[in-house]
Amino acid sequence: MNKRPEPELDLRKAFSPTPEACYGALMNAARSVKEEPSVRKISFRALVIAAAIIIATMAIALAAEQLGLINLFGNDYGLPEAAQTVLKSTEQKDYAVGPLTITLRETLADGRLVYVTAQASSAGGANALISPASGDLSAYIPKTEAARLNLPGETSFLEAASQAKMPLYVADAYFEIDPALWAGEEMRAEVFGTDGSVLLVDMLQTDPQKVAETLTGTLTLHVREIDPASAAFVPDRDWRVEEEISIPVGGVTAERIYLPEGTALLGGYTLKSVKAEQTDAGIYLSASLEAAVDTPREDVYSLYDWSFLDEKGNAFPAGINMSGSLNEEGWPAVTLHMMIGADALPGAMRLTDASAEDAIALK
Amino acid sequence: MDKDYFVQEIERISGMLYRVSYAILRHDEDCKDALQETALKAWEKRGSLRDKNLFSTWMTRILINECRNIQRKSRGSVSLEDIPEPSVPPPDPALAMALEKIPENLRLPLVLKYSEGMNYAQIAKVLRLPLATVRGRIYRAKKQLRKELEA
Repeated sequence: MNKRPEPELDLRKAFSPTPEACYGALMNAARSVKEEPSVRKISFRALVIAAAIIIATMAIALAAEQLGLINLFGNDYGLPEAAQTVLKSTEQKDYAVGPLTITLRETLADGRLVYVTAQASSAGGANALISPASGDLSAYIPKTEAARLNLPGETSFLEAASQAKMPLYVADAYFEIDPALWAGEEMRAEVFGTDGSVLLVDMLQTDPQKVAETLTGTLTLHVREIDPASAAFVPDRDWRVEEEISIPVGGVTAERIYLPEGTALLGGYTLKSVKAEQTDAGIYLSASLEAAVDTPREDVYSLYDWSFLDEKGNAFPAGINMSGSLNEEGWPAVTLHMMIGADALPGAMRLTDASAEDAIALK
Repeated sequence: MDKDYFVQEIERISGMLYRVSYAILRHDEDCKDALQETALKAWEKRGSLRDKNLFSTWMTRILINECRNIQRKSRGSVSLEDIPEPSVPPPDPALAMALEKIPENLRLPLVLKYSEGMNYAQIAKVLRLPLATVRGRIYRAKKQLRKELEA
């Protein structure tokens, strides 16, 4: 019997057309490059900041006086007491940035990361709509803003400003440091207050080998007005304040090496040891692993699904650096870096893979 | 490579870049970040492109690395429930749904071949995999896709 010829598979039909936002991000980045041959890391860094590469929008809203990392992270990320003490002791300072007041709220640095938060509010309680620079003006306003302005939930920032007949401002706050101290990652996030104010969060990962006891950098506060009808910046309605600030850096307060007890083999890798370093911000874990001969290198990313558990098998809070990393340059040797949120180094731990069926005990 | 050529070539392959990023990340916000960073990194690394004819595969390689970085930062995989509905539905929603259900290590080579028209050798180069592995994955991917479509 003749086999029926298989129609040619056309997988393009499985994809939507490229969304405008994706096309715009790609082409704007391509057009933003400078023709000069010397595109140095410092200028690339500036581009990265402007582009807000990692945007984590926190889908919660808090009362204005509660805006801050302590309420933002709560128990979910295991913000240690030591970090809370540092955050509470930050000397707050108000800056007049055009029609807005931006308050430096919190700073926290431990050598591996630095957090800076600033709260943008309408000066003198004037009515205005504030959007974070890392957001999207065509995105829906948060529920709290819809309630405050008495608008339907599915209203974009641009529509809300038109309908409520109030000025729309884009606010940004970020901390720039010497590129030599930067470890290559940045996170931008924002949290809306119920009064329309916005907490702008900037987190940079830093190189602990290079950061000294104090981290000095430039805090930039930037406000621009948007014309809701054209979605364009209003000429001459652009305000910027820059100030050098210094943030004390808390270093490693305790460290320990954990070794596997019993089997050290999991998911095609043998665990050699786990180094734990505690700082005010949490506990950084570095697991040294060796891949078995038949473990495919292209599957190394499955290690991101691994988790550290406490003795009872409960996952630790994720920690506030928001990311893990892998070093596979020495394959088959691999180092998995992860953070956990905890007040003290645990007496024992377990390391489990995505299936969570097997685990390596560590002591 | 001058800037005009760079911008023109990126525009030419923008659709392909989006589809590849979506095949890995399955979330438009993440795709947006990956595409933006890919353009910046590609310009930074433009000196490493020896043959302009290889622009498209070279860009795809950079994009895949960037998608991996984003996956790494978000720590973990995206479950089917977490994938937002696209604002414009794809021409063949059933095919899209079946494709979503295939593991990423099979889905990506399948997309490179049957959406982007790459041959096995190009896919092997882009994914840094042996040719035989690529053939095997595409075979398995097609089989699984057929199964999903029949389900």
